[in-house]
Amino acid sequence: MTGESPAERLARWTTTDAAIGLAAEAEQLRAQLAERRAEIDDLKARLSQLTSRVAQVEAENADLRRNASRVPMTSIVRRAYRRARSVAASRLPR
Amino acid sequence: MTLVSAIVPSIGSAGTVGGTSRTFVVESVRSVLVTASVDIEVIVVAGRDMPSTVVDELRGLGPQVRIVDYQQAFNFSAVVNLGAAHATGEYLLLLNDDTEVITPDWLTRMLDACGPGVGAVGAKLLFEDGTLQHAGHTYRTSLDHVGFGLPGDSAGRNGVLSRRREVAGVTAACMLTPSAVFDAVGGFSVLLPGNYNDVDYCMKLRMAGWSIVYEPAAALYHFESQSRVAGIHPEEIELIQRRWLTHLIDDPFTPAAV
Repeated sequence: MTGESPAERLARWTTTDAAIGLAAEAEQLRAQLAERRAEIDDLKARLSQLTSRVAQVEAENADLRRNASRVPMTSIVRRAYRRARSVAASRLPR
Repeated sequence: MTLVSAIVPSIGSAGTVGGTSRTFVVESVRSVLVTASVDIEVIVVAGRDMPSTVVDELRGLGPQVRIVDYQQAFNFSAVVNLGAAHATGEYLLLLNDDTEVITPDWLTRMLDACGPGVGAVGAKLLFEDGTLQHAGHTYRTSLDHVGFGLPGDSAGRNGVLSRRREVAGVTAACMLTPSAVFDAVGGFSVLLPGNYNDVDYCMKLRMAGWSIVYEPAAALYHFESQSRVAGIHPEEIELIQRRWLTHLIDDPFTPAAV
């Protein structure tokens, strides 16, 4: 700190402070970027889990639909079903 | 022998302490000169409103007192830097003009605390009524003073207020810092004219590897109004967060409860 005038010293300090400040701001931006990347990775992982779960439920749904279509609905079964429904309805309090 | 350069920004304000009126800077410098047990130069950075009578009174305190004129619009950082640019000491002592020394060996204690690797040392500051104004900074949830408003002799939980310890930062109202350290980090940032310039300075030191120490054995009165509204500008908050946010939140020195 010798050989410098106070004005020169002040100018040098301003430059140093600006450089430190910019480096600090850059570090903060990098930290923010890393945080956002982690958030994106987390969201992607959750999306992947949800996509897999949707596929699983859709497959189960398709199975149910197939099984339901396999149940035979003959005219005798249909008549017995209607009769049972009518009896049940007549016994319900009005 | 070690030379300490005290930097005292002032416009020569007057006020009342204990029912007696005083010119703050005169009494502050007087208390420094009376108690300093090391070589000291006092650089009063005088704002353009300082009355000439105050300048004369300061000069009358002794040859150690120098006046440096500051003619620009108020910028605390620029004022401190101007004083430091004129300093010749191995250490800088930044001191508000509305202070008064309590413990006679305060400066020796602060120098003792300023060992290798230490970038700044802060003192215990008390309001006029004896309550605690400053016992180190805390940055965890907000930028604040540890133990603010507690009785001045309060030890705090586990004696945290009454022992020398590393802290996140200290106030520039009374801060000892090696001149070489101040020079290395470019002094105070003039981009922070009124607030957080000491927080920023301490963060610059910590990020460069220096530690900040609070020394409770060095006690001074700080006659700042307890109800003072700081007048913080949004730009100052924005800048301090843009530079240091993640490090401010990560304050490892503040206990959960003081």
